[in-house]
Amino acid sequence: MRTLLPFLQGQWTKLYFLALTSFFLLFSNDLISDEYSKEKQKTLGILETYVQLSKINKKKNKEILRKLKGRPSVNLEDVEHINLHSTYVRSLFFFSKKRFLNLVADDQCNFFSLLENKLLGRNLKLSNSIPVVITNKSGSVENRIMPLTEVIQFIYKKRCPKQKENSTLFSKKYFEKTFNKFNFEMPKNERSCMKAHINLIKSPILPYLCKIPVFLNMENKFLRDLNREIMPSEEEEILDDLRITKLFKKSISVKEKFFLENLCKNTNSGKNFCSFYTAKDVWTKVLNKELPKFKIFHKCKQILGNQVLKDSGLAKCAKLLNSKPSLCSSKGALGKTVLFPSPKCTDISKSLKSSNLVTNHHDCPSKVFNQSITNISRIILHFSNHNVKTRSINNCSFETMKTFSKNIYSEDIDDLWPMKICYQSKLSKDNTCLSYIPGYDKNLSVAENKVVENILKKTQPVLSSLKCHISNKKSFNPSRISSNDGCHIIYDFDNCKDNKCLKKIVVNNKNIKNINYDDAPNFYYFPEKISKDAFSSINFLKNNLNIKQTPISNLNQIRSFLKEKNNIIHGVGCIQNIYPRQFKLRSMNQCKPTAFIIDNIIEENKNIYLSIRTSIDDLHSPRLIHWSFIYNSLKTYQNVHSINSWTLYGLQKNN
Amino acid sequence: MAFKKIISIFILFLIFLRSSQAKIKHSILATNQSPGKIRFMSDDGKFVYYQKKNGELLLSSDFKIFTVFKKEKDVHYTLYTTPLKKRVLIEKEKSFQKIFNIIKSNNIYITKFGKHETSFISKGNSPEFHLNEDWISFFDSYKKVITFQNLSSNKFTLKIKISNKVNPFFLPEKAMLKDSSVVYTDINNKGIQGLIHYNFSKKKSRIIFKANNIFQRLEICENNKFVYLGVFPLNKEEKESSIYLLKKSDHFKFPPKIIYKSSSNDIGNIECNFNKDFIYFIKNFESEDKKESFEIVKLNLKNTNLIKITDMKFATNIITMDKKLLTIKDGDYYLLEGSNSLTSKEFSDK
Repeated sequence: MRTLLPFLQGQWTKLYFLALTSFFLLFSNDLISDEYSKEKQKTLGILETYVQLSKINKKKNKEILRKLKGRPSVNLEDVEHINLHSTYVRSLFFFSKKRFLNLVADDQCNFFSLLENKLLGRNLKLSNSIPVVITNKSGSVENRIMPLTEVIQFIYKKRCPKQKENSTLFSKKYFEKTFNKFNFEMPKNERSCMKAHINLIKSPILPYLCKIPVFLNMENKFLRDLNREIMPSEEEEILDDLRITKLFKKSISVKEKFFLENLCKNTNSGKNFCSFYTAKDVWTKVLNKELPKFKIFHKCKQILGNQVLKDSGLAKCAKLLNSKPSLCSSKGALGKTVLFPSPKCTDISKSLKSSNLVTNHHDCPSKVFNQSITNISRIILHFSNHNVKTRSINNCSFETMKTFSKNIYSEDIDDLWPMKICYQSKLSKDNTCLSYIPGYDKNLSVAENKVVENILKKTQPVLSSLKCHISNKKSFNPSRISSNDGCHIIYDFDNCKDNKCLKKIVVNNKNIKNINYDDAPNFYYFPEKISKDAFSSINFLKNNLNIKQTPISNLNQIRSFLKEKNNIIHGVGCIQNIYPRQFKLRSMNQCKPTAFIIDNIIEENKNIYLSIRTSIDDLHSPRLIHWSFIYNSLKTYQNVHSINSWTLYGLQKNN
Repeated sequence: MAFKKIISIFILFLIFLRSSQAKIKHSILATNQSPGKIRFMSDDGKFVYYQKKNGELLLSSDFKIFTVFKKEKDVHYTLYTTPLKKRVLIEKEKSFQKIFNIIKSNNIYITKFGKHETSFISKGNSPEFHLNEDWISFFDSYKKVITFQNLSSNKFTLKIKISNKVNPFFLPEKAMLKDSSVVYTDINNKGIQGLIHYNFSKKKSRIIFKANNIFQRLEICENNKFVYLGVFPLNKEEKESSIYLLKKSDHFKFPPKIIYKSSSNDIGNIECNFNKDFIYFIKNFESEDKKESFEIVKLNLKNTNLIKITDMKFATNIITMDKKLLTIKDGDYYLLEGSNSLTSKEFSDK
């Protein structure tokens, strides 16, 4: 059956499809075998219908190609007009995705543009020959075969000069220059956004834009196709597609990719498209790549219980957080290790939307005895770009301690460093103590494994090549160790008291008893005396991480300091004034000092709140607290501090 | 003549209007030394326990200075008393600036009021007196055990392990009805707080009160006759605050009597030992445009009238020290009720 028009409107496609289905179901005996019809006097299921129709379409297409194969090639000089053969069009529409079929409007040029960008059909190859109906200048009409690319070029030349121009602009040569001119910012209100969506859908360049996310997602398929047996022309085309894909990868950011995916997925729904840009919550802003992933990643990992969390998991989580605001109050922390309850998701969203603190990890406050170490560790990981090892409830306190120690310790302060491993020297019988940093490090001389190795070589009959390893008692299996297996320092994370976890050193299957840890991790947060050599962890941190510290004493300073995205504010105050609901003040000058980080300021209903995480809060659940409460806590702490220090400072990287 | 009368009435009216609109003024607490050093001062100023920068805890009494604890680096003392003034509880926190840990166990000592000789009780946190200072209680956050200890010669102790698993920083409220009968707060596995009554002699416990959701917190204030149970919000969205009265002698006849109920987001922190006719707590006076303002109020127990006694916008705590009712704001201690025998300066809204 011929069609007069080479493209069909969406409505027609649906009717056509329905008619076709009905026709075959009712009249074709080939579809339903006698045996089948005897057993089941009912219509085929949807899947079976699809499979059958799919086979029919492919078969019909092959038949027509075979039929037209021997005919002479087309001389385009004599051709007035080219239409696609109806069999081919039927097959094309059958195998096309609905979101692109929606774009097949009353516009021939748009249709061919979709074909050019391989957005219609399945496994479309521009080099493949397709059946066409040619109308010659003489008036005669013939069926022929032509490569699809030639058909498209003919149509562009004859009828679609604009599309020809677009094709050039989006070619490999000019793509980067063309693409850089686009603005992917969408209006934040729904009405304007939907208007912008309509304009984009109607735009003649839309097929060129939608090609980008499709190709980016097909890169692996292209590589697989190359490994199959294919014709040289197909191989050439696939290689070209791969080159274009690599160009896309180089030129397009993650945010832009997401925008295009969202646009091309929602061609028929402006509302769905705009939902990502008009949403005001932080969860959706992370999904649309406006904000970094870490703002919801770790919370979602705990809520969904997934160790490996992909984008689809994040989307599911974001939906949950939006629909159940109370969820954040009881879930999302690493274990039950934080002040409960946490704020609701709505409050957390307000804080996180414009917060400065980088939180690329998770920690467990109640498992770290000295809570100032948790705060310092958070500051370290904000300013450094270290890849953070995944933390679980078993190793989180250890990792926090390791982060702290590695960044505070330096040889200059070796004498003041409180974490020591001690042994009795064989000769002098004196007790000698050496500084150490908890955890394994291949190169650092003060790493725990290195220090224990050195001591063992001095005090035990061990090989000079001895190497010590650090293990968790839970995963340590003594039966798998041979008698000469070296040295193991085994931590029992289930047996911790006052920040000291039970450890033992096993060498060649024997417990070593004469090496002791003298390691109370006690550090002054701010200096406790006025002298240049006053030991304080924040002073050493400033030097080691090249951070500048500025005293902050009022709201205006806070506002202006936090405008710079990487800046944060830290301090120490009395918890009874910061959180008067949870901790009651009962006596004069009573104070429980608590370190905290402030990274945002929110003004709402004439109230001024600061987004704060104390060292007992979940890292990913900041609270909104009145500035007056915080100021009160700072003044109360100042009263009882040894040198009446003011303890609120801004931290920023030194230029 | 009539004109003069009208003018006088008008002037009187203006004065009346002005006085009714006058802001509440508060006096700064007058002390003989830096307020940052004081840990307890008796109403007449006769006994002052204070801590020096070198860590010494001293008692000034009758113009003499006594050493309660010798100098020690990095310690902090907190003192607790009741209106009876028989004894003083002293909580000694070591490594005050080196180890920040709000739930660690500190050394708890006791001394007779106005005296300096101390005796060690135990290690724990949140110590307080009960039953006319014949008993004390304290909490071990890591073992999750509340200990009630008798202070008479037999030193009898009673222990309760709480169930809480959801909040590692939870400090339970506790009160004693009589020697073997206590009440305390706990949190269940769903995070909901409850007030539990436990009878040591019968070894029976029962839930007196349960919060509606995880955002409600329970607090207790006890005096000789009553236990006041406050139910206050833990976040700024919850708009329900209430106070219940429970008679110790009735052994908590159910339901408890409600004496205050409000749809405001109050802070609470009930004080019930300062004046037998009033209790004090912190209320949120949120304006129509949702601007928050936290002030200290006193509730008349006879007619349940509420009177605002501060004009600070962000009052967050109430401290009773002998016959003085205090609050601390921006590092300064203000006298809310009681007398300041020394010179003072006025506070008005800054």
